[in-house]
Amino acid sequence: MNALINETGAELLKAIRAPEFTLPTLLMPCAFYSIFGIMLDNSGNNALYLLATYGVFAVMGPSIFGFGVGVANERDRGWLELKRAAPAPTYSYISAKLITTLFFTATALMPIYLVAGNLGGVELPRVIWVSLFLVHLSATIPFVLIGLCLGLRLSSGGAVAISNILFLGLAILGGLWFPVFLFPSVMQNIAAFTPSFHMAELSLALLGKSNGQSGLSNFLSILVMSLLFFALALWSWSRQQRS
Amino acid sequence: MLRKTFFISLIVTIALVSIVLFSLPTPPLEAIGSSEKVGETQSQQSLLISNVTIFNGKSFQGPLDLELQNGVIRNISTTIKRNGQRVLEGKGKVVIPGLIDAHTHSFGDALSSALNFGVTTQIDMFSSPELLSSTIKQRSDRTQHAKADLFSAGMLATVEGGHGTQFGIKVDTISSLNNNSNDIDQWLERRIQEGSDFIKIVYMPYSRYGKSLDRVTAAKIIARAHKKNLKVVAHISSLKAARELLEDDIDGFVHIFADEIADPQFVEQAKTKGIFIIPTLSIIASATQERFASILAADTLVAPFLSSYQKQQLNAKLSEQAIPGFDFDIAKQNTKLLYQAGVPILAGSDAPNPGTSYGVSLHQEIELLQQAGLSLVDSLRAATSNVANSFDIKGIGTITKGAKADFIILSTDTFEHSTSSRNIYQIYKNGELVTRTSAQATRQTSAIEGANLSQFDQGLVSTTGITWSKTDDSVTNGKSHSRIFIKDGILNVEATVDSGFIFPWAGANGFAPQARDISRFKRLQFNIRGSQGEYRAMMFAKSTTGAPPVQTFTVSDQWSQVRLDLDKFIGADTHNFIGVAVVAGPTAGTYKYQLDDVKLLP
Repeated sequence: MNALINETGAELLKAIRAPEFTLPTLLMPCAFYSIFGIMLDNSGNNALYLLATYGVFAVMGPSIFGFGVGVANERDRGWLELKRAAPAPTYSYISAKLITTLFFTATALMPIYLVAGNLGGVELPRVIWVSLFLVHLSATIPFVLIGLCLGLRLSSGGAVAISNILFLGLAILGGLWFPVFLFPSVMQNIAAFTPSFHMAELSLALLGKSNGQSGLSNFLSILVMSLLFFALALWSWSRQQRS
Repeated sequence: MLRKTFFISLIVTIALVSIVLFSLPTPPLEAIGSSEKVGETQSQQSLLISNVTIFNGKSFQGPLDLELQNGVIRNISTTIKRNGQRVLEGKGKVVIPGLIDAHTHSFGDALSSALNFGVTTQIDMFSSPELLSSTIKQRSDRTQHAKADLFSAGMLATVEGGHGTQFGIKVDTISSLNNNSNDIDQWLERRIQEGSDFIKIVYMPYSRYGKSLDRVTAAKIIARAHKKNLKVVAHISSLKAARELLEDDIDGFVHIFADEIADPQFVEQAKTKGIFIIPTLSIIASATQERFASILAADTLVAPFLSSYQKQQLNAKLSEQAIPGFDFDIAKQNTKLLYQAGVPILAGSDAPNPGTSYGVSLHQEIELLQQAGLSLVDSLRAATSNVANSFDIKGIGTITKGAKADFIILSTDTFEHSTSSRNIYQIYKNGELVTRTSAQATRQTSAIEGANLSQFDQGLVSTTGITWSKTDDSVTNGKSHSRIFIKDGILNVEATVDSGFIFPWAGANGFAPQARDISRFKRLQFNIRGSQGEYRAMMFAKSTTGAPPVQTFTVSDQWSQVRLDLDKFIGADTHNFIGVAVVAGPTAGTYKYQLDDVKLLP
């Protein structure tokens, strides 16, 4: 436990000491939301809809980059090998990163909520605000697993490139920037295979904007995808340990 | 150092998240916030009426808790869990279903006047079919709470010159002795197209007044309508006519016959055939010179909510003499005989015929049905569930889970008097509180200055702002006509009264641009001479929408001064005076007369 706390503290310290990475990650989704959800909102109805999707978008960045690029970097530099030799248990390395990411995503969601509530005219019962936060926060899990798979598989350079492609691809295909129903049907079919789409649908259902599907199918889709990524991460972990 | 970083970050993040999440704006309806309700800004807060006695359309129950939401009764139970609903203490009060008037003719402000007295649904027994599409649209609006719902026969089935053709509405008549099923089917199809909810026929072959459908045609209409799943009700005025239609499978009668007492055979057959009866004792009382309606108009429980026009309607008489063939005691006795045999009795007022008015007269009908022998509970069933059941209307006339939230809360802890239904505390329509309008609320006119209503030596406009012009029944499709001119400072009128209209008139009238208060005056006075005969003076108030109150006087070729007491203009609203008319008629003929010096006297 002590090791985990110390390790998490170290991760946090590292983030705080690199504001040139931290601040954009925290504020970029909010800037996007302000532009598309508030400033370019000519229907007056986008602020609520996009609150659900940009919340998922805000969670995706720290999760994929923090893990994908972070783990790849540390692996490249031999830090991961050193960790394995260190007396701290190996799980604390991953757990510390996960907790740090949760801190990050929680913080990144706040400016979006503030903009939605105070500038976008979004009013929700307290219980819905809290539930929305918990749903958004839980979106960390599938994206962290994706990031972990990338980090364990790719070189640091490759991880940056692939993370970016995945990040943008999941955001767009999942309907986080523009609603999926605006897409051609081919893209809509692809969307159903992205965790970002299902996370967004879950959040939308919570706001009474579901497209008729039950939240359960979205939840099960995410669960299945997360288990797949978890298995893939476990396999990658054991493979890179052998190497 | 690292521990510190962790815990500080943890505390800062939790604090930040908590502060933000609990500072975010919430809608005013947070109390009922559940995940599926968000985004539906129209969702109403639910209302819980606690510990209230309920008449559910069949019997009294309770005290119980009653919960409504979105215009529907959601729950009735001994105790309903409080979770943020508005709560109305119902102890000492009684909830009854919104009343249903089973016999009306809906014109003008019928539906809002009806709702003002807790009648949330009206059954119309003949009115202009053009109104049907808007009433159907309105009754499917589950949010409005300004008007009663209407179900209607629309056009009635009668013959040229028969009962129903005298009201100035163009009637799609059926030619007598018509055995052609095709013609009748087409007539029925037109009713279906217009939106008639059922069919009403007029069958009075033994009446001295007017013509009637013959029996063969009437039977054919009933049979063809039944094929099209339409119920058929009939206007009859004699036992003999009723008996014939009963044999021809009529579904119900919209009046009780009052000419002779029903024999046991008829009563037995009525029970076996499963028909229903709408006795309309209120209008029979009016036809037989009973004065219940005037007593009703003076009842302190209803008077404050009557418009001046309604008062005038209640004080009006259907005719000057009792109409032959109508006996109020026989009407009551027939109602009792059929009631005791188990024939469903439905409360209907026949408003707005003289002596009745929308909404308020149903409360009188409930009382009169009890006079006829119905128990208190059965008189309430007659005005609620019996009507809904007989006309197959779902969700009204009942207080049950899932029913429309149309109901009345009465300020009485036990419903024990024949007039308890008038003791209205609140009216709800589609789950929303109805704002009752009272006569006082509309009284905002200024007093008229000066007493002169005419200065014909200066023209057609008086210094008090009264403008004179010709008036005749051509405005209501009558055939009378008139013209006026001023000669030597005197108003000259040439009027031709034609008996083509039931209420013919022709003459001159003077109207103010706005309603004025003339209540400080006692008399109307004017000088008149002209063609000999009977003339009439009419008084108009702002609220007058039907026949105005009238006084008659005679005229000769010598100048005479006519003085009429304002309080003899029965029902006139002197606080909202708008005009006066001096006209010839109702006797047909050509009249020439001169009018001068029209004034009000204190």
